[in-house]
Order: sequence, then C-alpha cells, then structure tokens
Amino acid sequence: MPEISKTADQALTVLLAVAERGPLTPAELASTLGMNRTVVHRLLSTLHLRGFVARSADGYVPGAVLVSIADRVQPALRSTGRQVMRAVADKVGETLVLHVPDGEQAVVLEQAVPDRHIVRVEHEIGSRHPLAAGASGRAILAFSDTALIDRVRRRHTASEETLQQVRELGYALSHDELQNGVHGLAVPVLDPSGFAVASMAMLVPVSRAAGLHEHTETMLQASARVARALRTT
Amino acid sequence: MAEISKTADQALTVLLEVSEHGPMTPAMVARSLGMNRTVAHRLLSTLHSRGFITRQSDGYVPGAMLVRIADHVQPELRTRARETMRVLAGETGETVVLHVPDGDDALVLDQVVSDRNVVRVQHEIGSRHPMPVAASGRALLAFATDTAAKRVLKRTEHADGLARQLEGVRQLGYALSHDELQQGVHGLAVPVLDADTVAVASLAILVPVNRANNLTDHASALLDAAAGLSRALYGVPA
Repeated sequence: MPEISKTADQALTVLLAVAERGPLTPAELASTLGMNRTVVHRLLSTLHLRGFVARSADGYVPGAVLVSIADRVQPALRSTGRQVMRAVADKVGETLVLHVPDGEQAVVLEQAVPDRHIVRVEHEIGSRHPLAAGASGRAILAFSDTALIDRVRRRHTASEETLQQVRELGYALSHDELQNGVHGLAVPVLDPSGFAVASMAMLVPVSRAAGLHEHTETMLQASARVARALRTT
Repeated sequence: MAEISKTADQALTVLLEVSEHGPMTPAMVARSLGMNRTVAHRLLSTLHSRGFITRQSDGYVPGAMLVRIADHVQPELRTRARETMRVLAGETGETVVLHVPDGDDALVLDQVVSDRNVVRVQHEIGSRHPMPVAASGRALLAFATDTAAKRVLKRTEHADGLARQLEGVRQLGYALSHDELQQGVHGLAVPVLDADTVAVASLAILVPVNRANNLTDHASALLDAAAGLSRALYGVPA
C-alpha cells in the first residue's frame, strides 16, 4: 500500500459524505465523521473554493464541478457501453456490468439493470475487486500483458490453465465468487492489439443460472460492437 | 475568505489536472503542477485509494467514483432541466445554460449547445461568477431570499444601481446582459421558482452579438420553459 496523505483523504471523505448524504451542515459532518469541527470547516472551504461542494440553505450539497469532471471518465467507452448494454439487458432481462482495469483490480464503470425480474443483481458503480476474481476480472486478466498478470499473481491465484481456458472460449464464468448466489458470464472488450480495455458481464441469480450459457453469442457480439465503436471514435 | 487546507487543495488540483489531461503519470503531474514528485505520488495514491482516479498502463485517468457521486448533484433539477433545455436549444438554435445559486455566486450546472450556427457561445460546466454579474446571475438575485439578496447587495459597490436593475428584472420577469462575462455575448435569463417564489436556478439563452437583435423574441419561450420546470419540480402553478 503506497503512502497516502491524511489531510487529502479527509477532504475526500468529507466530499463522499456530502455526495451520498447531503445536504449536511459542518456540525453534522463533524459529528458523523468524528472529525474536529475546525478541520471540517477548513476542508469544506477548500472543496467549495474548487466547486466540489455547493452551499444550499440546508447545508452543503455536491457541486457542479463533479458533473463536468465525471463527463471525462472514459467517455467513449461509457457511452457506447451503456447503449449496447441497455439493449442487451432489455432483450434478455438480466443485469449487465461494464468493468475496466484499475491497476491490479477491476472497477465497475457502468451497468444496465432491467426491471423485468423482482430478484435481480445490482452492482455499485466505482466498486472494485481483484482482476483474479469473478468472471468480469478474469475476462480482463486473460487478455492483459504478462507483466500485469505477474503482478496480480504475486497476491492472488490465477493459474495459466484458467486464463488459457478463458482465451480459448472467449469468455469467463463464475459462480458465487463476489456475491453468493450470483453467476456471471463475462467477455472482454478488446483493443486492436488484442488486449482487454474492459469486460462486459452478465450477472444472474442462481435461480436463472441454467440459462446463462445461452447468452454467450449475444455477449460476444455486444462486446465486438463496443470494440468497433471505440476504434472509430 | 475562510481558511483553506493547502494539502487538500493540492489533492483537488491534481484530480482536476488528471481529469483534464489524463492519462498522466506521477512525473507528468509533478511537472505540470510544479509539485514535488513525492507529494504528487502521495496525492495520487490517496485519490486512487478512494476510487477518484483509475490506474491504466499509460497513467492515471479520472475514475468511476466520480460518475457515482456526480449522479447526486441536484439530480431531479438536472434531469428535468436537460429535456427542457434540449427543446429550447432546438427551437432557438442557440446555447441554453442552467445556473444555480452557490453562496453569493451563480454556478453553471449544465448547458446545451445548439449546433445550428457556426458562431456559438459555450460556457464551462462548474464555472462560477458573482450573482450581480450577467443575466444568469441577476435572474437568480432578483428572486433570491431577502437574506441572501441583502447580503449580496451589502457587498456590492454600486448597490443602488443594482437594486434598481433587480426591480426591473422582477417587473419584466427576465434579465438581460451585454458583454459582461464575455465580450460579444448577449444573454437573456429567467428564474426557475420554487413554491415560495425563490429562484432555485436560472435558465439563460446566450447569443453572439450578431444575433443579439432578436434576443428578446426568445423571452416568452424561456418564461414558459421555466414555468414548466417549476410546475414539474415544485407543483407551482404558472
């Protein structure tokens, strides 16, 4: 774990609290986060100066600068991924999730959740897990460079056999790995040199797991469509 | 101005820099911000550990956590206003901008830029200016709470002139500006009112000087759009 800055981390903690639970007053923030009130005041002033929080009558709320920088988060991948996943999710009635590599981890960038079933799987955007875990992680890892695979292997198990199987099939499968009762099928989104820039996973509850493999072809076509769109942007 | 934290501010600066110019390596961040490399490393690690940035093979890029928290920025107003603004921009062929009050400032929350004309006006989402300035600001200030309006007026140099201007805005229902924030840009703005007739936002149409003659022709469309938003958001009758 690289060294982090305590003050910067506190500022981000305040920002996250305001984003998830705002409007919040400085006093409310100090008491929920267990921080000194002077410190909270200073961090809020700093966040406010840069537009990360705004002042409303009821306290601080998340600020508009977040909207403008969020627009710069992998815009091409997100917009084509969202469109393609929405179409598949509506057709099949299952949840689709887009992961991107983040160091040795996979992070959720987008998802499409259909409302057809009462029992459905839902992820949280921004949540992370190791590339060695879950179908979504292995679909990326199998199509990554060897240096990254070696780094992942220092801490996690990812046998060459498993990864080779993913490469041959063109997709990865998982059962009960990240969440109990959830089965997943994930395909890589490949760049022109054959490396994964993302993975697209279909996640189903165990009650509908038997039908998961029927969607393989749909998923492969969907990821190919995203890859094509990325090449032309 | 309240006291700020230098380290926290550096972290936000790094985040903005990566958002604007990423992918960036720690060395690139350090160089472009004139920062010590160890400091840049530490701030990047901090931002990364909270998901604000993502590590790719060619450097750091803005992260998915930003997408998640940006969804919490005035979601209802933004969703409703987006549709309204798209319609307005389509009808007028001009740029439509949504401002919200932020303390004593007006802050750009969203905009829709029409592509009908080659010469067009564009704002930056997240940018701010003082409320007494420009049509977008005065449409907010003319319909602010008494406390907020008094506070702003007290800090203004030409308070009498501004008070008269605001009275005019209340009578017309809209504010006008010429060459204030940007040379050659004319604006017309209307407030979006809540149930207490306090402005929660302003809708502005911005045009380059060569199309400024017809600006007031758009007033009624803008007023209707703002009234529609008030109804949808607060059930305020038009």
